[in-house]
Amino acid sequence: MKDAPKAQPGAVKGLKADMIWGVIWVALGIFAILYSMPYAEVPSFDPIGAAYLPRLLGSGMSILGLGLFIDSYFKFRNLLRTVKVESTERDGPQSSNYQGAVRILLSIIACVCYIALIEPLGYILTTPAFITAIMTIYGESDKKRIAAMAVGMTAALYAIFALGLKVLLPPGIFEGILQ
Amino acid sequence: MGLFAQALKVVLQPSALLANAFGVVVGIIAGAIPGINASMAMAMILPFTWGMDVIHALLMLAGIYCGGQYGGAITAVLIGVPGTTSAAATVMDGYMMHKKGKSGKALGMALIASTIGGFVSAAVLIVLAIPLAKVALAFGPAEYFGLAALGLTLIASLSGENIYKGLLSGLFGLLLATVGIDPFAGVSRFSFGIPNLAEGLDMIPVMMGLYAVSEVLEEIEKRIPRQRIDERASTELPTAKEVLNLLPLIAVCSLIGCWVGVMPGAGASIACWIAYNYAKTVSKNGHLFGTGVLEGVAAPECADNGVTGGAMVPLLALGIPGSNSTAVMLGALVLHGINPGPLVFRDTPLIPYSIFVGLFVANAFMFLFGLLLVKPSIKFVNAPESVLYSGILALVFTGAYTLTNDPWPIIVTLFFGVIGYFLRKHGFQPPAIVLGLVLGTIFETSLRRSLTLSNGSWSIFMTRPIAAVLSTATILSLVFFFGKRYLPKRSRA
Repeated sequence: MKDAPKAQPGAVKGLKADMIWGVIWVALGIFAILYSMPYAEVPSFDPIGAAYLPRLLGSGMSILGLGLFIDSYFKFRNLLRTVKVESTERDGPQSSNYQGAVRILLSIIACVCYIALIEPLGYILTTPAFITAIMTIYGESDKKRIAAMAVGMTAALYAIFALGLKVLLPPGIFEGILQ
Repeated sequence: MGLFAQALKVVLQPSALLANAFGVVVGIIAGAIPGINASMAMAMILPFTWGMDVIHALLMLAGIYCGGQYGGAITAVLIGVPGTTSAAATVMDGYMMHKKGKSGKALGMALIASTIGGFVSAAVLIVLAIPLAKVALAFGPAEYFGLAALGLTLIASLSGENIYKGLLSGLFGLLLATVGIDPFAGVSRFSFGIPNLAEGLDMIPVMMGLYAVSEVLEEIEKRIPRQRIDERASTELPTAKEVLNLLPLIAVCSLIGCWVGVMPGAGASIACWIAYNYAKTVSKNGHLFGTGVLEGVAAPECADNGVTGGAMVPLLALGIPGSNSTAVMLGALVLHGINPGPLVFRDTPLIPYSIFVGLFVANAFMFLFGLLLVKPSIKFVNAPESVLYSGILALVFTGAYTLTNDPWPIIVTLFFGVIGYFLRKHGFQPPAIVLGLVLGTIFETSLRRSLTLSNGSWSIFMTRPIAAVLSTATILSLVFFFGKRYLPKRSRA
């Protein structure tokens, strides 16, 4: 093993992830089969009924998920045997893109807040705040640019949708003023 | 010719021309920005088409499709980074020409070849779609089930490196299509007590999530600054002699693009590489490919736009989208209450005929704007990433909100954006999910109608000739793709 070639960066991690995905798909497939059981009791105009396709798809997912797991497992075992794997790689990610994961999490939180607040506060207030949040999360530090984008983009979208396409955007606290 | 004349009249109306031209402009700019492709731009623009006439909406989307295919060449030539995956083959010689100081000519050749490819594909669309739609009018549910199954199998198998992941993505899309009230039994499936889910999943927020939001999340995670482009770049058209010399090659490669475009799942990237390798083989300058030759730019670019008309053949004639972009077009048809498929030719023939004519007009616009829009496109490519991605998210969420005037579509968009981000990160295929969702209704209703007609006998899929061919092809393609994955290993052992 001393002279064995090194594994490609991320190969071990990728195969481990594929095994996990295999289990997830099997679980999702079983869930689809079990959850659709009651649909079989409902009378239908056709011979196979409402439960048939979800069960068929659930079975297909379980089989393919299992296939993915086995396929990845054998590749993983082969890789460990034939190539040299750095210990950090085998043990899993030490630092790999922690900041990236934080950015993703913060972005999703910003999106959830936007969805929750768009109706009570209104489009005009929440959209600039949302744009500001996303730009800040991305790492933008130019405050003038953030302000210009937040105000400019909101104004442009409001003009296109509310004034141009006559679509009602949530007025929120401006109800009665923005009609 | 009556319908063509009527369609021409519709397409040449100022509002239709404006929609078409706007689409081309958006397409070129979006195609030029690495990470944004035509289908993503089409998904983002889809909510804008809500209040529009259906023909205008489709012309706008067709314009984005055509423009987007060409736009990818701009960054492929100027920074060696393809704006779209299909422009990867253009990098080989286009970027080398740029290094030699001939970027203007490379862009000019890409534009001419894309335009000719687009015109050829529009002609092929007319030649193939009309007779195919006539044949398809005789199709029963068994044939439609076979078509949906074959299309989905090919798309899932061809769209990624791992067949398990491709097929799982396709099955997941089909499962999503079962959400909502079952049309045969009236039972609400997988709605989990949420009233909005009882109506089924609207494919537009799902598309916007899987295509646009997942991509933006990925970019936010990676935060890799894009290479900036010299804003002095401009297009320089090749001479008439240069174009005439390459015309036979451009014609053949355009047809290669059309042929690949007709096949579900094969996609523009494959077409471009086939065309590039073909050109390399037949050209007397084959040994110079990769050093910056005009043929190396012309061949993939005409195939790239040749795909557009080809991919619309199954969409218009059969109601089966063969690519991501045509899946979005199908979404637009459904959004406007049109049932895609051959009946469109009988019931609302002006729609397909306007697309035929509109594609020619879109390609003419593409040539014009291709000359004018290089500098503005560069400005967009050079725009700060934070501006671009926050703008895309705001646009997508606003568009989603306007679909039903409540936050539900935004929730769906975000949910599928997050799912798409994780799936994409691990090599699964969001396009196969979208196509599974889009084809799911045809797949299930055709299956159940067929079995009703045959009193529950599955032999209907083997006793009807066309259905038998399609079913056999589906099984053989699965055997082939699994065999391809495992047989070489056995032979080595």
